[in-house]
Amino acid sequence: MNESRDQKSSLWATLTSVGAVIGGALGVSSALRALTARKAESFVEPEAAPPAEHTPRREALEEAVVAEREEPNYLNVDYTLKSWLTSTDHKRIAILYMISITLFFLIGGAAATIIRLQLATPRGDMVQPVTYNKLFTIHGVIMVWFFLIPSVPAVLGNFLLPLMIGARDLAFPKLNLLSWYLFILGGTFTFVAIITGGVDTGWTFYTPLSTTYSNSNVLLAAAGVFITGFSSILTGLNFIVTTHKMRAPGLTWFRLPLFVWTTYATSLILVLATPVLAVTLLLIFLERVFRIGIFDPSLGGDPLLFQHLFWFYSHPAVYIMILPGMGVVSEIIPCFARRKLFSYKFVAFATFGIALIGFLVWGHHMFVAGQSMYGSMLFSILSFLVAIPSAIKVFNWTSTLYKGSIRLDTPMLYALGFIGLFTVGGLTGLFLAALAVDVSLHDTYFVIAHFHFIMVGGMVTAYLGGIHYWWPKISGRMYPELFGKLSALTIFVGFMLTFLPQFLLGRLGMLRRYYEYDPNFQILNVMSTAGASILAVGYFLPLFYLLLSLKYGKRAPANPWGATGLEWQTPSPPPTYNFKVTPVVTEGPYDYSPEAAEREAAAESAEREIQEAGSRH
Amino acid sequence: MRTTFPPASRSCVRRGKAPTPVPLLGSALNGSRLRLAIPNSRGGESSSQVPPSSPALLPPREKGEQKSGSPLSRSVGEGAGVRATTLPSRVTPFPPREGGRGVRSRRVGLFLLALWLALPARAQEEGFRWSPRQASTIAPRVDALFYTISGIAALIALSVCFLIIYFCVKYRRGSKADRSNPPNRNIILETAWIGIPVLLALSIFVWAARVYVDIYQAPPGAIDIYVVGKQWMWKLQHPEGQREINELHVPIGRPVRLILSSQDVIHSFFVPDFRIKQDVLPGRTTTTWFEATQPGRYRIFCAQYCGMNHSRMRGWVYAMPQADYERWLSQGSTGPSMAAEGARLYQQLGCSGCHGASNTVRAPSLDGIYGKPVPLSNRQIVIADDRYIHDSILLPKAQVVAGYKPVMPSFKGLITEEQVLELTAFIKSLGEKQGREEPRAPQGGGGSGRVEEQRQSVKERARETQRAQQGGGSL
Repeated sequence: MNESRDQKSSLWATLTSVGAVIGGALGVSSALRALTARKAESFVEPEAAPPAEHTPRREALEEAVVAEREEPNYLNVDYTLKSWLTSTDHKRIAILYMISITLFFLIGGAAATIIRLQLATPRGDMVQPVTYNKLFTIHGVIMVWFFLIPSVPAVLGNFLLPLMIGARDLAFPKLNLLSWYLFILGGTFTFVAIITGGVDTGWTFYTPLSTTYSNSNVLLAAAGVFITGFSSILTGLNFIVTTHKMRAPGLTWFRLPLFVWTTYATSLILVLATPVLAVTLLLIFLERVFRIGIFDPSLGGDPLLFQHLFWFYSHPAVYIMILPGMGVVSEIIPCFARRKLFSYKFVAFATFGIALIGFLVWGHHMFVAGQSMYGSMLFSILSFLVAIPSAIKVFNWTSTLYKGSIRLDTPMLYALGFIGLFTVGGLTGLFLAALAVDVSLHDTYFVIAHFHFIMVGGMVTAYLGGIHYWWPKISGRMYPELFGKLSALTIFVGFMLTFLPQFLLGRLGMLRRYYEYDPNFQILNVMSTAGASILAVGYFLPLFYLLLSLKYGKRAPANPWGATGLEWQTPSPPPTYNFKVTPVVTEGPYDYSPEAAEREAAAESAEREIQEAGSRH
Repeated sequence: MRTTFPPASRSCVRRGKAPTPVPLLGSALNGSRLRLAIPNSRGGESSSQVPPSSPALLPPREKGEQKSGSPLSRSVGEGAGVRATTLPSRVTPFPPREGGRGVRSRRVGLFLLALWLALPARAQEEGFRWSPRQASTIAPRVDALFYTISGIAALIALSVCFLIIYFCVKYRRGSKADRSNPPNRNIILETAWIGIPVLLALSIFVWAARVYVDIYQAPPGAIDIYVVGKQWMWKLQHPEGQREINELHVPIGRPVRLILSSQDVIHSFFVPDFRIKQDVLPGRTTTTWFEATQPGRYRIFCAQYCGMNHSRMRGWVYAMPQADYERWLSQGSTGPSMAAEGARLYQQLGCSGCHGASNTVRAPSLDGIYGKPVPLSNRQIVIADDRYIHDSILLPKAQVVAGYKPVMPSFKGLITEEQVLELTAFIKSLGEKQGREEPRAPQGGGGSGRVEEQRQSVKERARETQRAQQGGGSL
């Protein structure tokens, strides 16, 4: 191995990730600048305004403007960095999470970019094998634990759960802040592991490769994941208690929006499964440091034990990464179809069906690993069954569109994109649950494409849809609709082009974690890389226009979408205490009427026509 | 179609002496920068030509024009003669960078295109394909299932997409569609779209499970081949003693069972064209099997990420007609068979001291134990299969035979994985010698007789060695 080349290429990978971080930091600083600009606007301007002539009309206007500006909300109560880093306000902590996971997304995305560029040629022209192995490990670890798992729960869940149930905050606000600090601490460990040499075990840390054979920073990275796990556990605990104890009067379980149901189910999984991950990582630590034989057969351990423990966490973790996305979509679709969600109870119970059966299917990652034949059969049939609740959801979302009054705004485009991509991802899961077919597809790009459809096509699309949908509430500003639609379409097209060819690659036998491949596969890989570049543009678009909207966006009204749900009944952005008066709930969720929406639309267009006619005169 | 291999290739891999894995991804890779490539793969007259001494690059099958002559002389002649015609046709559609450019490369490209169109054999071997070849008995069955699920999945996905688009157009805000009394639930519909998918899923499950059982369990009478995976190569050994690295020669039309074990981390033995894959674990054996149906050359990959050069842990399966396989087996100097080598170890390590046929006080006799049930001291009964024997050598205290004390020392760390497999082969041969019916009944064609003969004589030799050494040892 040419050492200097190797060093050069790992330096290059490090530089890229550092570059990504710096780019992200620039984005954050511009966001903060936008916020400070608003501060200047709201505080300086009234003083500087000269007491000129006092016409009653102008006075009233000024008063209204000042009243609007000085309405205290969670963003303008205080502007110091300290006030952000010590805030126990669930909304501010959600913003902290949003900024930090965006930074991690940029690091993970930079790794993915190099991976895709490397795979554009069959011979592995860009980085050395060792570097490539570190890159896909970084990509996996960062994207799973530092982006996907906290994405919807810790950002949108943190922001919305108290608002949706009419509470002033989560049950344990300080614990919530502690969760974020643990997350950042874990992230720092992992980041240090990356920049001081990286990890090359794959995000799965399979033994005995990770405990005996790898010479990279396994312990540091595992420590990062271990610590972040506690952040997940605390967040889950907080959400469970909040949902049980802090619902507004009249808000019974079956009046809860589905986002709360899915967040609750996700929290259950977080609390029940994550400790197993912690134990597993601890065992890796014991074996790697003290050579206690747990997984390595040369020490008397069992390598399959690790896979059982790891997937016992990591398969439910897949549902941590998709259930909240389903919750987001269940909010968006009724709102933009102006319809009650079709079969609310079936969708709610399907959520719990997924969470429950999701704990019993981990063995489908091990059909060729050497587990017993009958064990594999049991896991196979359970894996087929876990697909059923997902199918129920897809059918019910689709039926919600029937006889609706549909508007295709950006959040709706994202939500419909989610249904399409999630359906493809779910259906390709059937191939992998079918025992004989999985034998040939296991560990190939078919699996890669399958879970990227679920996690990226599903969860990231839902996350972005949710960010757009609640952006007026979060920031108090409207995002530019045209750019929003453009980003949704770009992401959909880019995603399809990136990952559809990978199904074919997997079927042909291209294996995951290969840094070079059969030249016959190049055409499909080039398609995939081309799609990835479109996808990258799609992901950068929202980053730019959402940041710009903080300064230039139209001010958002309390309820720009005319949506039901308690979070829309408080100003945008909400005050620190969320609600002036604790709301009392008397109705179920999604109380929309398509016919009323049509009448309103007709009245609006009639009014516009009259105005136009008037202006022509 | 005949398959031949020059003596150079065999001599460098047969005895496990070749220290470097052989380049495997075809000539385009070779011409350029495979770092582990053998040195002379760079040295052809032009980049698209490959020296005949590189085994992985030789044509796996010729056009059938050579029928006679000894395999050795034939392959040498071919190595030179075929290079001009067949090899360029096997150059991949993505020629190496340092290859000729401009007009010349365009001409070469046209020539390649013509060859590609003219030679179906080439299309079968290389080039872009929409689905992998079906080269084993199991492959068509897996594919039938694959295409059925594809059909069902496509039907569901397309109908969902169609409905979404249809509803979005029909019920767009401002359209004149009927929106009166929108339903909020429909129990019949719910039952239908729960019930039908459940039934579909269960039938796919049953179908897939039946094929899986056949993939999991080898039919009786299979040829056993021992495979050891190590970072980053495959070492394969035939019971007759032939060793190969990253290559596996097998006959077509006969089941071949692979007994897999790893020396370090977890690997996975994957032959896409056979639709088989099995993880290879350290410290225990796993098995898989296949029956090749068409002569040809098929890729072996390591599917489970195993460290730095995971992507280079590749090889080829050469499936050949029975007669060719036998010729291959009998060619060149083979070392002692696995069982004989095992017998030597059996003596050397002192196993015979306790396990010897006349000495059953401290340890059970191993004669005829293979494949038989063994009562354990914890009242369980296990079948003495490859895995049991393997574990008993490395972890003797885990499963102690009823009536004996756990006095056997572990051989973990003292012997290599290959030596464990040789001992296993020897213990197996004891079983077969004890009058059990020979399970490997020759199938199809009279050609297999010689192999069987060879196997028998190998066992005989092993047995004799053992007896002689045992006698000596007891004095």
